[in-house]
Amino acid sequence: MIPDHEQVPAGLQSVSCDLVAHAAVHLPLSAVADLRRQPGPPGIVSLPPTLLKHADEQTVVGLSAILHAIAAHGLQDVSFTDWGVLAAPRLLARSTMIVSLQRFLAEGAWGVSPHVIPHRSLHSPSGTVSHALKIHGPNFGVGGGAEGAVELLLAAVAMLERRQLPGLWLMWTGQEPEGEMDLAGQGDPNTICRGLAVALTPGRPQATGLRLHVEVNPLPVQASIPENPWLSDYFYLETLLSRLGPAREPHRKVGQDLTGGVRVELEWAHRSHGSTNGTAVRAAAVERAHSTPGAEIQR
Amino acid sequence: MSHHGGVWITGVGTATPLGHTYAAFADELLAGRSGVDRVTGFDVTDHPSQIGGQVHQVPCPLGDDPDAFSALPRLEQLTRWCCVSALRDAGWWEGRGERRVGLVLGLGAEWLMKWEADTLRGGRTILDPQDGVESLVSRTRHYLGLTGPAVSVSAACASGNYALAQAKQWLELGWVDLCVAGACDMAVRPMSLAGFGNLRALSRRNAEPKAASRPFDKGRDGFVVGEGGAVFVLERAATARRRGAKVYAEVAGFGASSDAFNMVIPSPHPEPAIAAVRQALADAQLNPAEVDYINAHATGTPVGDIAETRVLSTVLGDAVSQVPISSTKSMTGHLLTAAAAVEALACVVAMERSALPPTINLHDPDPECNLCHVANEARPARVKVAVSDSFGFGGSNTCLVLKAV
Repeated sequence: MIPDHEQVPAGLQSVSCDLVAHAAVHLPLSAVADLRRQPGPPGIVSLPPTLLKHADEQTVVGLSAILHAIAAHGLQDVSFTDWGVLAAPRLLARSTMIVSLQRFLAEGAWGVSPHVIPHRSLHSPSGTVSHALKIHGPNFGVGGGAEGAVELLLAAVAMLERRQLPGLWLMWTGQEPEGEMDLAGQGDPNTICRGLAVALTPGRPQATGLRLHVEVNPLPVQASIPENPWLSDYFYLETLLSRLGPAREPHRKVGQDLTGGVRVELEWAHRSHGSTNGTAVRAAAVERAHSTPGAEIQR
Repeated sequence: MSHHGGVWITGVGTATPLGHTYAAFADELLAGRSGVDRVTGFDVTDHPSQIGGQVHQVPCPLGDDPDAFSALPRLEQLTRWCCVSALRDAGWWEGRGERRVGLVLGLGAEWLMKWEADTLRGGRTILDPQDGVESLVSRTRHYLGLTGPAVSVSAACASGNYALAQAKQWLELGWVDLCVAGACDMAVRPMSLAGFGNLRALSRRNAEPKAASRPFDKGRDGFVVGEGGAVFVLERAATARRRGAKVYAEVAGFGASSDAFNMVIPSPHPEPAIAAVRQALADAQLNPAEVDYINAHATGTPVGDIAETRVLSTVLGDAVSQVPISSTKSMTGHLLTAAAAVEALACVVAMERSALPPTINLHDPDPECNLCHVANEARPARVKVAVSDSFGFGGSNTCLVLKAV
């Protein structure tokens, strides 16, 4: 028997968060090795010396983006202890797995590195970042394929809406082009490794700064098979930030429809007595963290 | 209860080394039978650990073409079986297209598994990712004809708890009318057996497979890899009540934290894990003394079981000597990404059957794991509140609280 339809709670399908920091890193894959020792601007964090030794290139670039975001938005003194971190790497560890599988075929079980599972799995980038930033809130990986870009946003804003976390770091990473590789795990020498880091805090209507709105269509959205998910823009949020531009015109808004009935919008929200420079963003982050139970700010 | 009147489990679907239906799983679990055996799917002669909890054949869901089903990757077979079984069990199979149904799956090694299976068959998918690009969660959404959002999450062995927590949040936000949520893993594969084996995390008790998984026992020497999954249908209490649904439990509380210590080894500082369990109890508005049963993460590694004992002893305080605890991994093996979901199902079994599943192979309890063990045999008990701890690589700590309705 099909039960009568029950209305979903009205007005709850849209979630708003404050975007308090962001940075993008685009690097040739060959340059990632140097990042392992110094992934971000000096003085941001002190990393355990071996933390990135076995990490995937995407993990390194994603962490680098976070550290640049911290530096660019003046969050060096903010403690992220109670924050969470979510990461959406795209086809993580493909190159490593090519090599690992060839070794397995040649040498059998003893040829398989014990580092693949802990350091090159979907949970690894967020786990590594939690270690680097001393984050004791939740950490997990999202997606793994081309659709992970939207999945990450959904998972994150749902968590923030509960208002139990002072903030969340989000990290999108991938290689472009995601092209053919040989049996040694080598691909196009011009491959770029990309990382986008965004810090979100629960939305506060009176705050000045970048605001992110995510809407989920409350009506059923028919499933359609994507022709080629690789053609969609994995780094759509970076594109939107770029479209919004540095002008910070009050209430200027840009948006994009994503898959699955999800729409994302970015807005420069303006409070008349608030300043519009980076100081306001930093102060807002600190103020928000202060007002959230359990947050620790060392300032 | 949450602000929204609660989120209830109204359907379950599963396949594990203990059986392919809820009833079979419950029967075997309470009989204290081990599902661990010598691995038969591939040659294990040069693997340090040669045993596992295997799902030999995943049943084909009613209405699917058996030939097409058998051609699917094993993880996809498992996911389909569990999701369809859960929707049918909940009474939503026929009406699923008329509601906004979400999908949240714990899937930790989807791409690694796909590349491995293809390469070992002589394929080249890993070399050219333009082939077969749609993710499993997206394919499953299309296969099931669901019309809500779909997400896959991975926190290693804690993934299932995150999946259930996300689903609960989506229901509370009103994003979906109901949500299919759980986790699946098919980890008894050459690369994972080799990888975990070379990490020295696995039991090498190859001559005695059924005695190999022995959480909390002094003779434990590592975990045993298992495979399987559990998927649940979650809906708001008002929806379930209105349609007179059979209800398994309320998803009452969730807590999560990170050690920020090491990618593999549990932190010697138990505070983050303690915080996760306390958060979950607070979320459910319960005191430790109100807990009737704890399904421990306890994998059977020397370090992990002791670390968890410290956490539970601290959280439970004086109640530690009275709250029954068991690790069902002693029977299923460690289902990795699917572990938390299957252990949530074990909690449901405890509530529904009024019996506590045991830790088998617990003949010589480690004095450093001094807990109120349900050793070797199931025990009758009324369970109104059950707690499931799940921890994972990457320093993840999670805790789920289920309440009888």
